[in-house]
Amino acid sequence: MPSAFHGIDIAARALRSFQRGLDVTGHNIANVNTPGYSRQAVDFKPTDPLTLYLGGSHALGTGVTVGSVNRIRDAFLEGRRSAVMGDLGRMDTLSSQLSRVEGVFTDLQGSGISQALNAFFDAWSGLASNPSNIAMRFQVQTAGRSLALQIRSAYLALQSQKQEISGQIQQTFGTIDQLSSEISRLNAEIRSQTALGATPNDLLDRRDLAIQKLSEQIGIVTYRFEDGTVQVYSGQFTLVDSLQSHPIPRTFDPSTNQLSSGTQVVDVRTGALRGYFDSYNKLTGYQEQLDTLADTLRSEVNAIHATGVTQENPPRTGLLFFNDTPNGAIDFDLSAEVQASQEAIATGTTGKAGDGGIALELSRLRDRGLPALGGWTFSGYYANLAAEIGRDVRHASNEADSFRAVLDQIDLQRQSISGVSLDDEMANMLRFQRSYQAAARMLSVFNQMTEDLIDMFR
Amino acid sequence: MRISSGYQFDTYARNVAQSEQRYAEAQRAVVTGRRLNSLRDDPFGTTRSLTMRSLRSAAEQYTKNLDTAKSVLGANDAALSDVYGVLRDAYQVALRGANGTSDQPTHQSMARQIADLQRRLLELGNTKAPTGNYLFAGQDSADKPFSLDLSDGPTPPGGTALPTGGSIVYSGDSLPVLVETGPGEALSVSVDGGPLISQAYRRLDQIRLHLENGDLASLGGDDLREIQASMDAVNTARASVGSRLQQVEERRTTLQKRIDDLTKDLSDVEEVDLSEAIQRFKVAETAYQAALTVAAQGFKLSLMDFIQG
Repeated sequence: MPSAFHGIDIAARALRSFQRGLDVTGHNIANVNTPGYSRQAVDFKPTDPLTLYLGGSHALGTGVTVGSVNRIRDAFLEGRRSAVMGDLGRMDTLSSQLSRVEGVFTDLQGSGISQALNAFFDAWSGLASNPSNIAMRFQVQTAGRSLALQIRSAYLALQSQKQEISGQIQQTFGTIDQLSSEISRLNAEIRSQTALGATPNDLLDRRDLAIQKLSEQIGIVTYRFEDGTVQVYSGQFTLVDSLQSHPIPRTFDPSTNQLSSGTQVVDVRTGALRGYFDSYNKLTGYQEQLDTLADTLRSEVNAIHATGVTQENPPRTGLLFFNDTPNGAIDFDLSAEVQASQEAIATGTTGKAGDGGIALELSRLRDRGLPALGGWTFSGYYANLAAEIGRDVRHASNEADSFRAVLDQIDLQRQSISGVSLDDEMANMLRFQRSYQAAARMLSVFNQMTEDLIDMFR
Repeated sequence: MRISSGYQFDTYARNVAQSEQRYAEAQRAVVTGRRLNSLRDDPFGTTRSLTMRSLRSAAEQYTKNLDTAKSVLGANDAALSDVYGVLRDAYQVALRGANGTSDQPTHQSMARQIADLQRRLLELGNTKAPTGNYLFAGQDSADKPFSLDLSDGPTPPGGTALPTGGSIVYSGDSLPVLVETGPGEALSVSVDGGPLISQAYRRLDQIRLHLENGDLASLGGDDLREIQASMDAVNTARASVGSRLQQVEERRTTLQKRIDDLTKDLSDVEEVDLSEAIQRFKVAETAYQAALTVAAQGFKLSLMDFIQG
């Protein structure tokens, strides 16, 4: 037989439970802007009934209690999001790096290597048609110098960007280690709370967020364990195990997309880190093409120019137009002789004032397809390089856009499940407020009843 | 589907940002008039644009070269015309000398006229082109091509020292001076003046000697025939210069046409169709306004406004 105060007990439990419900609603509203936060819901459950014997046995309800506070979350969406974050991180990084390369090649603004090539061959054509003209000769010297400068500075701009990328790769290693150790630390806290039987919702959220951030940097897979911990792997490398985190190997080789430390090798497949490797490789490719352009200009122009005789007194022959050593675009410049004086420019094989044969031959290089350039002319070869850069940027930014669209879809679903809706919470707030009011009213009714009972004996 | 507040706000913000970006792009297209602003805009168009710019740049240079060719050929024509004038004057002097009515002193003064014409011919042989080089020197055009060797050659009998005594020496060459007029095309702008002028000069020498000697038979026979031959040779050279001048004009017209075509094609590749761009701009503007309106309405809606107290 329940006590006379049974009703008061029920009302008190209801008041307590609804107040917890209101607390959770408040927690949700407070975290509406918190990244990675999953809304929480109170799971109410009836308390165990009493057995009442009143002409038979009956189960008598004893009210309500808070069963659990749950995190509303879909683990499958988390996994997919993590994979997409890796791809997006890669393409986003590549796209933003290549956009900067685009700024180096200003041909469409009328001031790039292609214009310098045109001006160079135009100057030779002008000199061929007026071989003793000092102004034309000066123009050839200036155009040659500016062409060399354009190629060299494009190469150097790529070089310094590559150095910057290397720095950013090091920074990424730092970020990865920091996130790994954060995950490991959260693992430890979650394990101890789980052991006490609690569900540390907010810690789980923070760990999920750290995992998402980590997957943006480098492709990872995670495994969950009974004790609440996760293990994180990237390729064959264990970033976080059940006890601790391991620093990522710092030795990297963009050409193989691998990290290594001793005998251990890690393949980097996605994430911003891979994006940096991809950018590095692309830039190296562009640099190689600039090298080819510079070296072919050197060999073709010098071979013809060296057969010429200058118009000086005494005449010189065998002079180079571009410097011969060392190779590549990085040191590309006029030869010391031509740098020193435009009189060192040979226009013909006889040194006579009207002999423009060499200049004519050099001017005709413009239209010659060269085996060293894969059968292309200088301008054609360079136009292909410019188009290749354009295609690469476009491809990377399109890919990034499409991964972003996929991510948006996943986020929509994720937010739809886990996100806090203020309207929902307002409704919940009203519900718990009203329920609380009703429970309070109930308490006062029981109170009145008890008072009436006591008054009977007065 | 359940819509969370965070997603709702993010979506409004993203839609507004996207519309704003498209609006800005459409605006840029209208303001700059350019379709190709960076390499990514159209990689294929970039290749075409750079190739056409290269072709146009070359064509413009060939046009400049043609200007040089035209001025040099013009100078050739003028100089040859003067040479022809000198030869014609000499022909008339010889013709008057040969008809036998004039006496010895007249022949002497005629010989002096021929000597003046010879000096004039020598000057014309050393004419400079507008480029600053000697016209009739072939490629060896830095130095005076014609000079007199006073140590040999015909000296006037009777001891009257004429200023043109001595034989003519040509120190130029007969190589053509070329101007590049197109891919793989070059036009010679020179006249092989060495033999032409040397021979004419020597023929004038003959006329002068025959006048001084009173050899009227040679004067009226071979001399007149030979000077006529020189005049014909000069005319032939002038005709060749004339036809080359015509080639220059034709070539220039062709090149100008090519430059115009390339400029038009370039603008097709690089520039936007303005009416289309403005239309796109209008569409983008409307979309942007719509996104702003929707966001402004959406931000305002909340259950909170409908709950009393």
